[in-house]
This record gives sequence, structure tokens and C-alpha cells, in this order.
Amino acid sequence: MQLVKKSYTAETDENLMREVIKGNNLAFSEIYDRWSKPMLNYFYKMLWQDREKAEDFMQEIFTKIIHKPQLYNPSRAFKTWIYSVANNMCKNEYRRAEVRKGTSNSLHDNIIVHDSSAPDKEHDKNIFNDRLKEELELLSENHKKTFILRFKHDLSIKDIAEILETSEGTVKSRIFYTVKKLGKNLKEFSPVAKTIMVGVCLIELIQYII
Amino acid sequence: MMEDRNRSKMDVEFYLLNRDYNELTIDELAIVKEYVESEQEFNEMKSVVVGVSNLSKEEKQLEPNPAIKAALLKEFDKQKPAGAYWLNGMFISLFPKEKKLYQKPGMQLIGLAASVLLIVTIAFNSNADINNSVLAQNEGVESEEETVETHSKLEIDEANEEKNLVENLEPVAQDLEKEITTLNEVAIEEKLESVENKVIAADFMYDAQPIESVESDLSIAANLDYRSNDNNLNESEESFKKGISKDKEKVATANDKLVISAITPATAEVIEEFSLEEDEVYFMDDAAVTVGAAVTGNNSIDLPMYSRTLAEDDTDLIGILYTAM
Repeated sequence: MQLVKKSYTAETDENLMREVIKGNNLAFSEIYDRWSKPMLNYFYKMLWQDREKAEDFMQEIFTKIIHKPQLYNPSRAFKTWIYSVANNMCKNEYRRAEVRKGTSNSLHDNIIVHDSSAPDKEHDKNIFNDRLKEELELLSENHKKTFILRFKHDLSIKDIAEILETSEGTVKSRIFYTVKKLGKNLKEFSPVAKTIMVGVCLIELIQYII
Repeated sequence: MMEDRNRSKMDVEFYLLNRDYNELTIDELAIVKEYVESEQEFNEMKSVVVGVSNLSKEEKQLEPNPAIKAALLKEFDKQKPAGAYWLNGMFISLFPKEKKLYQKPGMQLIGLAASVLLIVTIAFNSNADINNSVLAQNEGVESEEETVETHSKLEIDEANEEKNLVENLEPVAQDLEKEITTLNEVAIEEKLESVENKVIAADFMYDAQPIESVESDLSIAANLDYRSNDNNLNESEESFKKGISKDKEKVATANDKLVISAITPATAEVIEEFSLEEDEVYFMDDAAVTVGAAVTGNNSIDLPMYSRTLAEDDTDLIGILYTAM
């Protein structure tokens, strides 16, 4: 029996889940502290940047862990398991959104309509961010998820393949396709384009002076 | 710059993040050209990847609402199967996981109980010294009793063996005794005859008379002192024989040797009748029944001395008898 309160900060996620299965609330608290923020941000990115919806989904995923912890297989990495659960939740939400879209015959409220003709945002980071979000929303679910998991959550190709239950080659292909498409749609933010744009501006300025 | 831990050199991302198109080597360019058609496309893709990476670093992460954690922990405590049973609930209340060991009520109760038990144990042990010593002695007595029982059994066995041995040897001893008696009777008769002869011889010596007249003298025997007594020689002889026959079975023991003698005080009286002088000697010894009569002086007559040597011929038989007894 321990003399002092045991610290779970050094334990792996897998060991913590073993304790959670036994009913250890301290282990559950540690798991929550580690993964609540990544899950919240993942849902936020995946579910149309809706914070309330993201928090609901984050709470739902931890409620699932409380009620059915035995669904987790300790031989599997917890990181990929929780992302795959989150991914399935997002899939279901996309389906529900499709049904709502079909009945209301309108676009999803959270989908940001791309306005690529706004020249005043091109040189601003925030503009780039907004443009990127817009472009991501236009991607297919699989490409979007792959891109977010890869660049926003810094997961490896292998982990992404496991989460999305697909091959690593497919993941690489999706990433390449997404980057190439985004590069074309966001080419105004490329260094060459910037140089050209600066050159064009300079020419226009000289012509205006002359 | 984005971390490269999840990227290998076989991925285009790696070159997009870490190289300009002009910096690519021939081998790297060969890899890149499998996916990228031109330098322009490479630069467009590079801008996206670098931009996203920078955004990810600079992007402010959302923080979850603390109320969500509280609600989830409450839900977790409700969900514990242990809470379904009142006994387990009591256990949880006695040993809450959140508290340190010495702060748990259950541990405090256990410590209190242990202290009381220790005090009671010490108090009872302090009054038990005398009883303990008694208990130790009782253990010794029990063993002694067992030893006594064992010894008594052995003694009984030995006594039984001796009894059986005596019973077995008793007939043998009776036979030996009969044989000894017979032998003694024979010996005594022989000795009596020799004594009689000696007495007759002495009479002849005393009277210096020829042997032929002795018998006649003995038959008369009136002029002699001893013949002056009321008893003549024949009477004395008869009484002597009677005394011997009366006492012939008496057995005397001395010095670990059985001596059988036919000479008893009654016999000695008879012998005394033959003594002519007052200085006759009559021996009766505790160690051995020795009867002897010595007649000193001119009229001395030597009576045979009966001693333990009388039975020395039968030493072996006597030894067997003694062992049997």
C-alpha cells in the first residue's frame, strides 16, 4: 500500500487505461488532462470550427471511455485508438450533416464560403489561415482528415493509416494530392507568386509615376 | 520549422519543408520529380506546407472547459461497479484513494486496534510467570511418570521371567536335593561305621587288649568308667544313629557354600558320652557348622570332624542348586 498519493504523470497512456478499466479515477483524470485538449482541437478543426460542438464531442468521447473502457485493447497504442474513435464520431456527424443538408437543401452553416477574390487578405497570416480553412472544408473527408492529422496533429504516416484503417501508401497519396491542390488554390501565398506580385506592383507603380 | 521526426527522406514533405528547389541534389530531385512536375508546382506546395506548419505552431490551441472535467469525474465515480454494493462503498469510504495512507480512516482504525491488542497482550503476559513455571514442572512429572511406568513394566517382566525360571528349575532342584540327601546318608553311614570301628579300636588301645576280646568286653563293659553309665555302647550307638537320622537332613550354609552335616548338637551329646576327659572341645561356628570332639590325654580319642569339606565332592551339584534358588 502506498504511503503517498501515487503520481500517474510518468505512466504511459496504455498503463493508465489499464488502471481506468480497474476503476481508478486518478488514472482517468490523467488521461483526460493529456488528451482533452488535442481532442477538442481535433473536433474543432474537423467539425467546422464549432467550439460548442467540439466540446460536446470531446465530452462524449471521454464518456465513452468511462462507460466502455473495455473497448480499448491495451496492446494497441492509445493515441491511434482515441483518434480513430474521434474519426468515427466525425464520420457519423458528417453523415448526419449530409442528411440535414438534404432535408434543408442548404449548405452547412459552418462551411465558410470561399471568397478567393479578396485581394486585401493575401498578405496576412490570418488571411492565409482563413483561406486554408476554407480550402480544407472543400476537400473530401478523407483528404481533410489525413491532412489535419498529418500537419495539425503531427501524426506519422503509420499512425494515420491505423487511425483511418487504410494503408500507408494511401495516406501518402492523399497527403500529396491535398498539398498539391492546396498549393494550386493558394498559389498566391507561394514565394514565387509573391515575387511576381511584387514585381507586378512595382511595374504598375513605375508606369504610374512615368 | 516543422519537426522532422515523422518524416523520412522518401517523403516529398521532407524536401518541401527543408529544401529549396535549387538546393535539391540529383537523387533528391529524382524523388521529387516523381510527384512534382515543375519548380513552380514545388514552390506552391512548399508554401502550403510551410504555411500550415507555421500556423500549427502559432495557432492558439483551444482549452477545454474545466466544468467538463468535473462532470466527467463525477460520472466516472458513479460508473464504478464497486459503488453498487454498500460494503464496497464502506471500504471506499474507509480507504479513499485520494488521501495519504496515514490519513485514511481505515488505517487509523487498524492502528488503534493494534495498539489495544498490544497493551492487552503485555498486561496478560506480566501475570503469567508463576503459571508458566508450574507448567514446566508438570511437563517433567509427566515424563517421570512415563519413565516409572516403563521401569515397572520392565520389573514385572523380569519378575515373570524369574518366576518362570524358578518354576522350570524347581523340579531339577528337588531331584538334586534328593540325590544330595541320598549321598549324605551313604556318607554318614560310612562315617558311622568308621567311627564305630575307631571307637572299638580305641577301646582296644585303652585296654591294650587283643582285638578278639574287644567285642566281648564291649558286650560286658562293666569295669570301664563309661560302662559304668546306665547306657552301654550299643545303646549309645543306637542313640547316636537316631540323632543322626533325626538331623541328617539339616542343612547349614556358610561362606557361600552349602554344607550338609549330620552332626548336630544331639549328635554332639552322643559324642560327648564317648569323651573320657573334661577337656573335650566342641565347636559350633557361625560360619560353618563344624562339630568336632577331641579327646586329649592318654585316653584320647579322635572323633572325625565334619565340616563343609564333607560336601566338597558335590560342589557342582550344590552350585547348580544355589543358582536355581
